[in-house]
Amino acid sequence: MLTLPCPFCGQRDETEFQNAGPTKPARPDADVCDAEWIDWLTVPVNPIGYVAEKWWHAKGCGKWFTITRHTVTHEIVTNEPVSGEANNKNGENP
Amino acid sequence: MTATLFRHPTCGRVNRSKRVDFEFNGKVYSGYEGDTLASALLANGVFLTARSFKYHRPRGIMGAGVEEPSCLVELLGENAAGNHAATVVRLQPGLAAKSVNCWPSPNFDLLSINQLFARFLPAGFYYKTFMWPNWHLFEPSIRRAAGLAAAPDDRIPDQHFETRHWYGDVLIVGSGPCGLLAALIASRSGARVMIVDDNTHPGGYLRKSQAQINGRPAVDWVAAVSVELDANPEVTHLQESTVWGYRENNLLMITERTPAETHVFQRGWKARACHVVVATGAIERNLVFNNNDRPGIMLASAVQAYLNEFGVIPGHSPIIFTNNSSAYQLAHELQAAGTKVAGMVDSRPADAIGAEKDGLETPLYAGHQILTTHGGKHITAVTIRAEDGTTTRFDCDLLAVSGGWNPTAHLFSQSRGTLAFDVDLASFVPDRATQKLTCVGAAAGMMNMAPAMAETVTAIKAIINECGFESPAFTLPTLAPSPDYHLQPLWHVDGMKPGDKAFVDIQNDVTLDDVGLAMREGFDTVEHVKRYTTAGMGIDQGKIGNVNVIGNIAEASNKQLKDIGTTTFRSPFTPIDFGSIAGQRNGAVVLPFRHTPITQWNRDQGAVMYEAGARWQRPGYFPIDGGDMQDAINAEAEAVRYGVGVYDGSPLGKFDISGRDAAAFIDLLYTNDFSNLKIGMGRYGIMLSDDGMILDDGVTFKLAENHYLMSTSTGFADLVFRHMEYLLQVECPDWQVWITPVTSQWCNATICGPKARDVLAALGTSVDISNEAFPFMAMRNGTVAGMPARICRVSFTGEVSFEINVWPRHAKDMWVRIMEVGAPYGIVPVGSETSHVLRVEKGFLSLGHEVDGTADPYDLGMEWIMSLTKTHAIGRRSVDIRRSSGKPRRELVGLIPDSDGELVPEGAPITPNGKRVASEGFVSACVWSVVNKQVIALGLLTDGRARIGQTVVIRDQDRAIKAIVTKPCFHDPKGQRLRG
Repeated sequence: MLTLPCPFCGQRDETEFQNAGPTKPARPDADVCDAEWIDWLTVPVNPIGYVAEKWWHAKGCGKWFTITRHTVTHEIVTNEPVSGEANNKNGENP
Repeated sequence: MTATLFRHPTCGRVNRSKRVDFEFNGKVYSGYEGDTLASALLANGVFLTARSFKYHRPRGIMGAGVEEPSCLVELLGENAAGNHAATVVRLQPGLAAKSVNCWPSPNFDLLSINQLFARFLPAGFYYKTFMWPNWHLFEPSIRRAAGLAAAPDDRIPDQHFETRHWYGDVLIVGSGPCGLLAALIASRSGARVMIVDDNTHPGGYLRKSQAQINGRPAVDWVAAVSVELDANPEVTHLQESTVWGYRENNLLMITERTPAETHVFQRGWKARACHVVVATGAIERNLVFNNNDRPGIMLASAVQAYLNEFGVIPGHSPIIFTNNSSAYQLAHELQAAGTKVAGMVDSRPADAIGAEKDGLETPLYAGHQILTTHGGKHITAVTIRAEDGTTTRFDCDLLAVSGGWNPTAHLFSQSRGTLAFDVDLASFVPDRATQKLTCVGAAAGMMNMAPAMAETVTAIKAIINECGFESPAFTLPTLAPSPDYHLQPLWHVDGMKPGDKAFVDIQNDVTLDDVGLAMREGFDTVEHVKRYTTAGMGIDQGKIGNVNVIGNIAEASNKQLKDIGTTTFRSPFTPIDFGSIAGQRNGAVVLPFRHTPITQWNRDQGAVMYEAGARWQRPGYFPIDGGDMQDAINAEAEAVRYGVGVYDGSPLGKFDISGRDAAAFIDLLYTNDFSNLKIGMGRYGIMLSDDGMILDDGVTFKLAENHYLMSTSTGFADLVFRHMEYLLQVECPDWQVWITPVTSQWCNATICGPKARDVLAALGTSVDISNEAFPFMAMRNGTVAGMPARICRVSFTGEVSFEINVWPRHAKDMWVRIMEVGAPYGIVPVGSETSHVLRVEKGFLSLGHEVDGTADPYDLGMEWIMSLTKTHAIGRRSVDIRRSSGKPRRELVGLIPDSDGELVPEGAPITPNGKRVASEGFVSACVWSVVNKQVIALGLLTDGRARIGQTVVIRDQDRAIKAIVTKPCFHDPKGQRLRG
């Protein structure tokens, strides 16, 4: 069971959180073609390695935040503050 | 046989002043306090204790601890439990146990006839035999013959499990020499320490051998260390506790099997440490030769443990067979105890055998191996083979084998650390850790105690510093010198023949031949060999045999063991009770129910309570005298349609939404346009998720500028909250919107029916409730029955409804008052079954029925809710993309089944012409309509709207039921009644 670094509450057990998968790039504009929209919606990154992903402190302060986690070792690297633009650069891994 | 025949007069540490009687297979024996069931049985000369899993060969006790493969017992009586290794069962007064997998007894086992058919029962036999004419015929018998102990019949009422959490600096697994050393030094630095060990007493190998520390018996040092540790308030010291799982971020799962508190049966711990020290020692492996499984064949380390811990020597003329130096210690100790070892058979050549043999008065057979053993229910002799092939037979009544030692690397591996193959040890040792843990001692592959202890001191000092403490000064205790550990691997003996019963996995009856068979059939990787042969898949998880399997795979395939690798180590390390994981978490403790203030009133009325999504308790229906469930529902439904009813709508999700951008947010969420909603009015909306599927529906009221009250369904309220918070925090962080969940802050009683207004008037209210002043979908604040209330005219029933929202502390009073005032009007309480009937008659949506995750609003006939101007709402794009494919869609329709008044099950498929082919739709709801006095249903049907008037066929298992397709509304299609 992981411990996750909530930006407000500090290290808490995984059971206090809900996961929402890898971060997505910013929501596409209305005029992107269908294929791009479907890609944005349905194709997340899935690396063997570091992934930026969203967690929600559901049983705590209610903050949505992003961490970068290694999908094999579970090493948690960063705890960036959530922002619509800052952490959504095409979903690429840092 | 008397007990003293196999019990040394003075050796061992059992309490000889406390006799303990116990029962085994119906016979009464006695042992001493401190014995395990196994040691007591051996002391009593009970050697034949089991029959093997498949072949029902006679088996005895092989080990002294968790590595025991063959003597599993079923405990009877008060704490009945199955499949416990007799070597870890503590002898207690009143203990009764029996052997598993034999009937009527291990001595006379009817199923031992299996041995005659051994040829037909190799690994995987059930894939190749017992097939014709139909394998189902054989399956029950094979299943009955398989398995070990029976599960207890009943839950034991007095078994109380508990869970505790521990957080600290250093957690040490194992209280052997290195573990104790680490704990001692760490505790002296002021760190918070936990030390856990699965034996009854601390000391590990120090107790099982005759090691000396500082010139005295090592147990004295152990006792002194224990005293110091137990006096330290920052130290938690657990014995008879197993660390069975290593999880992420240094979380360790521990089961404390005998807590000091007698009312707690077992305690589960979840422990997190800054740093974990794995001092789990090593487990001996056996050797592979023909008939290496007879009763009387034991691991050398087990014989040593029985001698030193329990004072039991299970034989008078032992022979020792080894490929390494460690077994010589046993020979010395037996000799000192007065039992002469009849022969030392060492497969290593004479020049490889060093100082370990000095002082032994035993004939040494260097370069020899055991070819086979003899004896029926107990070993009587061995045949030894020299390098040139000549054989000699020797009598013996005990054979101690040692194939070398494997570091107990299970927890290290579970922590995702990698293992490397050590050529000198011919075993796998911890290599690179991926979490903050350190292996010390034999667990790290350091088999010689003095350097292991020195290394431990260095390691623990570094760990202490890392945790932020100063390492204390410390002088290493001195050990008596002992010969270095030396081994030559022997994966199987020479001179073996096909058909030899040379077991690589004792518990699952897997022979060396089976490994060969698996490899010949193409299952030649270690994971495949394991699964094909079941080697390592028993309760003992192959602790003494797995590395032998790997060694033999390597030899047979001409590869290195490091290239074969190990199978994955999985938790739990040893079997654990489910209760120790659950602790107190069961039933309503782990998943509490949610109640409204009316719950008790419902119960008092005898309502049948249902769980209505998200753990809310709601009344399903209120039983009536002289009627069944359908009668009760009909009565409630008729009351609402023609009179008046009241239901408790408190569980509906409610959210208070305000802020500068609240209006824009509402428009982002819902598919229809809310921008022209007036203050004091509400609007029904549908929310989609980004993939275009319906997430939720509900009514949102505008309370003031930029201030809304949203209601959602009961079951999806939590999901909607998550959805909203995600959008606000992640996608629209610059928007100013505040969401306050107020689901529990408002309760409501909804009065519904043609006489609803009369009842509300009779209650007394400050609000003008005429239809002109208070139209449908409006909201008014005021008082009702003298209590502050917010009244909303929403209707989920299709009749005039007033939803009276009050604070929870007024809810019960309001409800009681409504029932009083409504009595002259024939008011009845309404349950969820009736709500369901009423909404089906109206064709109103229900999430989970028509909204099944594939239907979009157009399919459900709600084109009007998809705003043409406001197209940026969440999910819009996906709906449009899906519909643009032109594939036929399933649409909401009504159905009138020709079913003689019987309800059709929800989910029943509609198939073309009723044939057993792919369905073209299904029934989403079916009820008895009180208004139409017939069975009605709703369903989703391909191109349904174009087929209104047609007849379709519903399948209900073998029945085919015709139904007429209608519009999905059976009552007041224009909605005039609820607007009245």
